[in-house]
Amino acid sequence: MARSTAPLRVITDPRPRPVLPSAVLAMLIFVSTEVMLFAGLISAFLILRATAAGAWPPAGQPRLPFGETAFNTLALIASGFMLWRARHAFAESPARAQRPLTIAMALGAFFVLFQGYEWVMMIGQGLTLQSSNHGSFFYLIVGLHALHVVAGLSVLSWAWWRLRGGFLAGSSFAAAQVFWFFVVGLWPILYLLVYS
Amino acid sequence: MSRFALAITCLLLCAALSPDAASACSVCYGGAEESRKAFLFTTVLLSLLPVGMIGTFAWWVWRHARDADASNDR
Repeated sequence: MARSTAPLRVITDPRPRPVLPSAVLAMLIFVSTEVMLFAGLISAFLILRATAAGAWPPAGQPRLPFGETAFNTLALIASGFMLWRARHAFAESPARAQRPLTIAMALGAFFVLFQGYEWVMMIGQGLTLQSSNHGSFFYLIVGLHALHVVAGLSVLSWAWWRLRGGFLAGSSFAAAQVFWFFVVGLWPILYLLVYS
Repeated sequence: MSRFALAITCLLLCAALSPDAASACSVCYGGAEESRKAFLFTTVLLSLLPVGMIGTFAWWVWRHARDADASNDR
C-alpha cells in the first residue's frame, strides 16, 4: 500500500474554549444554594439571639468553648491552605500534589474528630438539641457544617484516589477545591457568630 | 387637591408612619432596638447575597471572556 506523501496538517478545534469547566460551574451553582441555606440559618439564629430576653446563652446553659474551637478553626484554615498548595503543585506536576492533598485531608479529619469530642463535652454539660433554642441552633448550624466537612472529605478522598492512580482530571480536582474552599471559608463566619 | 384626595393622602401617611412608632411590624415580636436591627440586617443580608453572588459570577465570566477574546485576536 502506497503511503501518502501529503504534508501533515494540524487540525485545531474551532469551538472556543469554555471560560469555566462544566464540573466547576456545576459545583459553583451547588455552592451558591448552600450559601443561601446557611444565610437563612444564620439569619434565624441572629434574630432569635436578638429577641431573647436576658443574657445569651440562656440561664442554665453552658458557654461554648471559644478558645478551644479557635485552635480547631486554625486547623481547618491550614487545611484550606494545604489544598491551595496542592492546586499549585498539581499545575506543575500532578504527582507533586499528592502530599499537600494528604495533609489537607488529615487536617480536615482532625477538625471533625475535634468537633465530635467537643460535642460529647457539651452534651455532658447539659447542652442538647432539646435543652434550649441555644442548643437547637448550635447543633443545627454547626452540625450541618460538620456534615459538609465530611462530604468534602469524601470528595477529596475520591480526588486523592484518582490522583494516586494518575487519572485525575484537572477540572474534577478544581470542582473538589471549590467545595472545600467553601467549607473552609464558611467556618470562621459561623465560629464568630455562634461561639461568641 | 380635593378634600377627598387630601384625606386619602393623610390616611396613607399615617398608615406608613404608624407601624414604626408602634413597632407593629407583622413579623416582629419585640420592640427592642436590638431586635429591630437584627431584622434589618438579616433582611439586607438575604436580599443582597443572591444578587451579589450572581453579579460577581457574571462579572468574573465577562472579564475572563474578554481576556480570552483579546488573546485570540493577538
